[in-house]
Amino acid sequence: MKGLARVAFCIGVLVVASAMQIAVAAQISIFGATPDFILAAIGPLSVSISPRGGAAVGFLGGLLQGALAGADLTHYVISRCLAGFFTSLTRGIGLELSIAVIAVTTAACTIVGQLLLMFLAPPPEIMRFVGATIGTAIYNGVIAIPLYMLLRRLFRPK
Amino acid sequence: MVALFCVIGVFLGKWQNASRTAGHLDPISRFTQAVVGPLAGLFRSSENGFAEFMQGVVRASSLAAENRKLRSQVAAAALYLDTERLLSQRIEDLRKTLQLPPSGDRGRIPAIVIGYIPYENRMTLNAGKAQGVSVGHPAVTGDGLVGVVQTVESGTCQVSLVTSPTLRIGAMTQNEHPQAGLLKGESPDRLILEFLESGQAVKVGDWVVTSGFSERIPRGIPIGRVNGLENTQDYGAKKAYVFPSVRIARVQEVFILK
Repeated sequence: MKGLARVAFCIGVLVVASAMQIAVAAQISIFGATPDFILAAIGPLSVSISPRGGAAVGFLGGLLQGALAGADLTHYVISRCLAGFFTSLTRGIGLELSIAVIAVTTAACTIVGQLLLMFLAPPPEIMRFVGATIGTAIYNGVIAIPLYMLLRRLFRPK
Repeated sequence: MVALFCVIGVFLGKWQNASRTAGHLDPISRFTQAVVGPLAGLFRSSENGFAEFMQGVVRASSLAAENRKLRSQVAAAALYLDTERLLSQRIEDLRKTLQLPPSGDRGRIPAIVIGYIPYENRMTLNAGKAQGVSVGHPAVTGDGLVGVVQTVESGTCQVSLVTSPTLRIGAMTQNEHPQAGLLKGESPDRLILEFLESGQAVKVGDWVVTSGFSERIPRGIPIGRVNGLENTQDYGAKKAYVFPSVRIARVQEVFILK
């Protein structure tokens, strides 16, 4: 998959993730941890593309998340854009992208995105927010695995 | 590139805030909701259907008993509604006799939750201008107040939840010496009621309801129960911590009061 098809696929994944985020995320919490499907999609997508692409994926993810939440778009766009960009940099450090690495990278992407959001728009209870972020990061790390396996199959050069 | 995206984000945020101040959604949010909304509805109905099917399989026998019990409750409720209608009619007749204006029964607009974003304390409902919803209308369930409509589109609206720290609602305790104040959210299971006057008797366990000091939100909608008190002597005010009566994460249908 190349060029426009890859871009369309990334947009499609983010749209589906956004729909799942507002429709089912709150209902499938485990031990109080709720997934963040958009960050769970930004993680594997960013790892699979260039840093510029990672920033673009983060930008679009933040735009979708902020627009759907009715939240301040600035906070979501900046936090997700930077999270996508930093996540995509992991390609450059020579790590072999195994399933474990993807899970950890996505969890880290979630933590970075949420911590940036926390600094941009401080929530009323910081410790509760940090606790929820850790739970979300673990959840996202698990969700990222099947998505990455799909991406690896689709993005592999023929 | 990253800097450019961030700058675009800042401008989009300013545009969004300006639109929200005017009581409507910015075009980007509107477009996003129009694209993602139907897909989210599909996911939600699939998830609900699956959960209900599994619940039906696991709890078949108890569901049958529950069904019988609910049928008898429906019959009792029908009787209650008849009595309530008669009493309402009597109240209106008495108001007329005393030359008081009619009490003005509020219309209720049923709506389904099509989006819930706990981080942002917001909910998207499938009712909008076309159904008569406007900014400031309260959204309620049988358990109490869910939130207040913040932005309205033709077929959808966004509700700022009662748990939101940015939403202020006039509230009062429901006891022998009702005390009014302003209520705001703190977390999903804690709201703060700051009283306008101190020294009154408020107890843990007292109900907190809407005060009705607003054109849009009527008096007496339950909000929650007091589960803690705090005296802030610097300002001579008293704070009460309130546990919300509505479990917002489980809300699927609401009524919007016109």
